[in-house]
Amino acid sequence: MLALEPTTTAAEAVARLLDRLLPTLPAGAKVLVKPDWCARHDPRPAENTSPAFLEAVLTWLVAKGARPALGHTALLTPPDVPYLSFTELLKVAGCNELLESFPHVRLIDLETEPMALRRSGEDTLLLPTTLGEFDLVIVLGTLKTHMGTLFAGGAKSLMGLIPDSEHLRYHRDGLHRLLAALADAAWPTLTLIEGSVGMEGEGPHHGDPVPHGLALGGDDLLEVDCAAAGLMGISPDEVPHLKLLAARRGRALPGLPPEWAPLVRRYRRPSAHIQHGRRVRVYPGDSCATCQVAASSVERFARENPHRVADVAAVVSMLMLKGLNVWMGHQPEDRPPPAGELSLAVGDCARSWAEAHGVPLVGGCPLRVHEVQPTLVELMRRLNAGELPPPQGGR
Amino acid sequence: MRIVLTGATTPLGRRVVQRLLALSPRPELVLLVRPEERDAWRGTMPEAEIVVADLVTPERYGPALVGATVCLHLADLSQADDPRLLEVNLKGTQSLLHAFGAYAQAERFVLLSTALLDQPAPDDPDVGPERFGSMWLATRAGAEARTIHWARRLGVETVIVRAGHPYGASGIEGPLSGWLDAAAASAESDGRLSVEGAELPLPFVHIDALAEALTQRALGELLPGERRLVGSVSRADAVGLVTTLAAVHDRLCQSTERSPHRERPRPRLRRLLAYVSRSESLPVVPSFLRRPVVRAANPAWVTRFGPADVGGLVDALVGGAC
Repeated sequence: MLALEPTTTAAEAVARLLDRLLPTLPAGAKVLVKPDWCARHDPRPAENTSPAFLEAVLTWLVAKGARPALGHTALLTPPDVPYLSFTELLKVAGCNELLESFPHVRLIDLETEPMALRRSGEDTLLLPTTLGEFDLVIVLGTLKTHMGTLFAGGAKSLMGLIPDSEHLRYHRDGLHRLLAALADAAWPTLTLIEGSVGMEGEGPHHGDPVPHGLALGGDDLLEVDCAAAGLMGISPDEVPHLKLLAARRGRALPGLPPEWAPLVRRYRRPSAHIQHGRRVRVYPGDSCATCQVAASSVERFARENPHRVADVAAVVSMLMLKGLNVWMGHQPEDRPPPAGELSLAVGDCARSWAEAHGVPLVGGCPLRVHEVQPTLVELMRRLNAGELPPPQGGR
Repeated sequence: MRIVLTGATTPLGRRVVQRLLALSPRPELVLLVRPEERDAWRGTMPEAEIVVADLVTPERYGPALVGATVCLHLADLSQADDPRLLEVNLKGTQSLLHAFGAYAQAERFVLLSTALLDQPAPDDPDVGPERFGSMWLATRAGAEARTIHWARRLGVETVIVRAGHPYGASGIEGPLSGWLDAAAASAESDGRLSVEGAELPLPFVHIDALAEALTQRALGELLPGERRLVGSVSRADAVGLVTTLAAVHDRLCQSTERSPHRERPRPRLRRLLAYVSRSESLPVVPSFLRRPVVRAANPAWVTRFGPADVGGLVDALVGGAC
């Protein structure tokens, strides 16, 4: 069953949605609510589930006599960087004060919960045993684009159920396939997508807001995600993990309900790179946060080591004057680096691409900041000194 | 019996492996070894299944845990500024718990921790260094908290051995290990391992004693000084066991018929130096003769010297031997 409501206010929209989707919620039902929290600091609009939307869901559940719990794992960080833990995420998401109004909502750091094996086809996944303790699991998502998967939504939000180590594995071993396996194995009871404001462009972190003014949901994750993608002007055919999920479930890809067609907005698709400052372009591909955090540590190096004048000068020269293209993740082989511009690649996922195009690589998986930082600085020093010429093949 | 062991390439781990392999019937051993440890391995490889993987990649070593019932988690980095503290001590422990709970038939989990933590593991599994004075202690406390939570949730018998700094592995690993061993043995023999007002001796333990205690505990034999943690959670039928160095040390002395060294009379010069170095009423005593401040997590010490700091401990110990 699918339902869509305009968002006059989050509370009204959610109440109407849930009244339609859960007409017979038994009192005392144990409900796990899994918000979409991916922001690491100061969330942009639609980057996270908004506190208002979360409050509306919890309010409705409490009013119906349910016993809600809020759960999320830590966000992935390099092994030598502290967890971005559930308690930190609560703060980042702005939910600390909100939850004071819900003293009986159980808070669960899923990262610390025991894990059990779940299977989907040939894939074996680690998922919290806690999931089995609930009568209902409600997954919250947002209308946003994604540079790795084109579309985020409910299935991508499920990655907040898996531990740190599994995040890394998903990105390394095939994000689309394992995402489909995850959605299949952790199929939620209900999926709610917040769309009062969506995100277009370089989502899920760097995109721009799109006022959309709706919320939708349903008891079929695939239907909800396909409809949500359709509302953003993205055909589900273009979203690999949705196609794979449909195949795993032996279903055809659902389309957008015809009556929702007038609500479609054409979201700007993500480009292949993020412009960082004026001179640096980062091509994240399907890389995970360990590569991204480790690579960005060169800036911290410059701030923390001002006495290493030559190294800092090389880093500043590369980042602010000469410019640099940073490549991560599994890049398509037919995407060459810009001719005549300096490039470097980071992480094992980019190894074959880097070797094919003659781009210097800082390899490893998972990347550790303390290992990558000196290697990156050394590489940038050599690039700056002209010891590593830019690739000449161009597009 | 199939036993999983981490930290097998350390001096302590090797001793535990030797003991386990000497058992009859011999248990199946699965040794989780980091790639760099595997490359640096010296000596004969033990007759065990060796799985080369980082602890934070459970998907790689998880399948090797199938059928295992016991896990001895001995991997521990203790250099205060080691950048891998988080990876091995905290995240590695968490990932190992995930994998052991999911892939193995978990019956018993033994975590090697440190006697420098003598307060209960905090409820917050993400404690920071500001609370414990060092990142190392914070990672150990976090690992204990996560282990206890995991044990309570799964109902697996779980043992946390809060051992002291092991000595007695001279000449095996590292440029300072000989100095450290000599310092520890020396400090113990002349009584400097006891502190005025402290209830416990300084946290040092002979490596053979610790290896023996861990081996026996992995097989299910209770250690002296163990106490059961009774959880308030309904499913908390897990047993958390905490022991201190003192208990382990006493056990060693009994089991190996080795009398405590401190009963021996101290040489006169050493007694004089010990007196001089302890004396705070002699302002003329040169600073290099003063006994260095050695920190431990004994409550009396914490009150007196501030939070425990393992870096300070090691430095002070080596300095004392010099």
